[in-house]
Amino acid sequence: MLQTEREIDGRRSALIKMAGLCGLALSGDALAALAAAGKTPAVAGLLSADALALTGVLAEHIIPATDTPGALAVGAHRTIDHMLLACATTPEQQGFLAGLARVDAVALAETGKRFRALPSTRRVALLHALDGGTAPFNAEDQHFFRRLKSYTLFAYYTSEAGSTRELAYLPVPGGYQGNFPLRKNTRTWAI
Amino acid sequence: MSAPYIKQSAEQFDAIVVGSGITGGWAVKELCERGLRTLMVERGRPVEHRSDYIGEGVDEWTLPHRGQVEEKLAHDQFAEQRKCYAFDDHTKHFFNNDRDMPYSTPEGRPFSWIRGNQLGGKSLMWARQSYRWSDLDFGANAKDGHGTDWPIRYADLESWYSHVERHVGISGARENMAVLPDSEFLPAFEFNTVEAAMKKKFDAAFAPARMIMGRCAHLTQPTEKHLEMGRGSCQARSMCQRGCSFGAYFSTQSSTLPAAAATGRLSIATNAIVHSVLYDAKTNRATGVRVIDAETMEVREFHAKVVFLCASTLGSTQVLLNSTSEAFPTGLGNSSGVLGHYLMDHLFGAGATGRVEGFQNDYYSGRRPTAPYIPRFRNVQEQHPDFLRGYALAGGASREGWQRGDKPGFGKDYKAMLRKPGDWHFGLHGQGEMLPRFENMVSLHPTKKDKWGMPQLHIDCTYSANEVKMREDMADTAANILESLGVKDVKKSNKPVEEWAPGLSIHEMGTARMGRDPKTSMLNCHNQSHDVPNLFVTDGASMCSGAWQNPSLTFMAITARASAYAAEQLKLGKL
Repeated sequence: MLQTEREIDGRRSALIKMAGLCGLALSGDALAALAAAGKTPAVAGLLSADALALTGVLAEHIIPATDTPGALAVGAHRTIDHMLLACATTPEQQGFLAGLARVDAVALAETGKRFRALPSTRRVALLHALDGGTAPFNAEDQHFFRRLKSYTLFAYYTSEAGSTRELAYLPVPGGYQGNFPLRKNTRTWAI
Repeated sequence: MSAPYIKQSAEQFDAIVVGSGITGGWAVKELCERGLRTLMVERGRPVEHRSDYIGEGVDEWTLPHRGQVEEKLAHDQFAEQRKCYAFDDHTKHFFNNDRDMPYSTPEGRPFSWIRGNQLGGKSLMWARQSYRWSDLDFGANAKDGHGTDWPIRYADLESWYSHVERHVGISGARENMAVLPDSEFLPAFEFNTVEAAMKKKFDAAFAPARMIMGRCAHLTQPTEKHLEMGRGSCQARSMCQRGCSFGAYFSTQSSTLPAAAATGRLSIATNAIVHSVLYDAKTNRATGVRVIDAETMEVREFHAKVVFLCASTLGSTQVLLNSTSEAFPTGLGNSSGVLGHYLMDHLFGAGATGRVEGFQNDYYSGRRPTAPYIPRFRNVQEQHPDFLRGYALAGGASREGWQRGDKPGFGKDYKAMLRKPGDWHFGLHGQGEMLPRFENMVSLHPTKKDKWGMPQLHIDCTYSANEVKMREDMADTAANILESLGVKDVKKSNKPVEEWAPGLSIHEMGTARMGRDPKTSMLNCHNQSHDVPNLFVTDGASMCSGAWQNPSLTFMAITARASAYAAEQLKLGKL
């Protein structure tokens, strides 16, 4: 049911775009129907509240708010949570949970505090070790962090803000140009 | 298009065409335009151009799983289809449900049968690469003795290639290469800066081999005729498998179906699973088809003077195997015994990629729906010691996007880095020919049936030493070429059979082959059954060899040619 509703939503936004392309106007009734369809249904996830919060903090460290929103603002952690439940295999889920637990366990062993409770500078120092796979972390932890980064990038850059504000989003390019000079303000294509 | 859908009919049609994909669409267009009242029978549901492309233009963030398919659904219902590169949340409704339509394979010998199950078939999700074959291909079996000699040569098909290309619209550039005859072209897509530099080096170093732009069924510059049909220019979205409301790539819906419907002679029966072809032993003619209603299980018959099977290579073969009678106990028209044998696919999944230094101020705009292509160079003049036949290499250059989770870093600098495109990468991957071998075969499973009571297909297909050697050479040669072009960090890949089983290239061919001798082939040079004169098979099943090029354009030309022949023979009273 959830999927069907979302598909309809997606189709509606597609219809608006196609209508725009074809120079068609949407009626008031159609707009009202679209507004009614805009409610976001509750999304199920895999993580406990605690693990979700940790994922959010880690994601924001990976993609922080700058002149555009960061990972937290676009709900990247909730997307990751939902994707883990809906699209990951059991080993992938277990690997992720174990990786999160390791981050907290190492933080606790090193500092006496869980990762989220640390000041930002300490968190960043630990994350540098995690990213490099160096002590107090190891290669397996580094592998988890690469995976978390991939999840975060996916959740962020497929979000509306990540696609359209941070990167350059061109759903209908109109044609292919093979020689397109990269200028100072040119951004990575979102798709 | 006014939808000429019917559920049942007592009338005798001039022709029945089973299947609505690339060949079914061409058969109904040609037969209707030649005056035949034609019924198209499709096992899947109707799909209307534009309005039923439910995944088109849908932004990732509006989808529940951002374009990915829910694991449970994919695992339970699309276990094979999910292996196809084009399968995702935008396209999954165009793929066959593996749970409902199972097939069997021997233990340890996997085969990936990727299927469409709707009006339009795989023409909605095909890769659109379009290449003529040449006499290097049509003469291959005669030359090395594998398979049976093709009963046709390039000269028999040349005008039919032109005929279909003008209607379809093929983007490409004239190259005058003997191994790859030119088509009737619309303008080619551009090379990007790195590819142009690579092409220059490659063409100089490896002549007579040449890097060309991949030819594809896209309207880069629609003709008046295309515009009149409601088709428009390609927008370089490269999301084709979701369906294209611009009608910019060739599909049944965008191209052949409206042409057939415009004649007023087309009828369509959807949700009609063909169980078998009806056969009258007294007249030795096919008289129609028996269908099972996909929704109600009701069994019905449709009748016609001519029957065309265009239900995909394995689909058509399954129907023929299931059409048994006293005269044809092993399948209709199978006096030769070759029905189901000589199954071929193409060899994909081997090649190389690497990093290209420099070009940091060059980028591209738009998503080109095709890529550079190096036509066959192996076994054209000299003979390779390890394998027969040959392959093409396809690939190209692009810059890294945001998918750089494997790069070190995080935080503001990392985000700023991802805001700019990353390094250039260049890759080449093989597309090779598989030999026709009797042992690669399909049969009806003796006991297993699907939910409609149709015997399941049992598919037994493996790669021979020739295929294994060719794939090794594809990977080695791709790597050598990249290194000689100055590409760095070259990585070779050659996927094991568990990751790229036969079938996954989705170019099944050969299981009801043409040939000169009725004792060793099913069909004559017009795709007409040697045994039953009003029965035609014009999809990939009819191929005698697989060549190295993508086969769809050749399927189209062969179907158009066979349709014209059948219409003429019918008028002469010879069917």
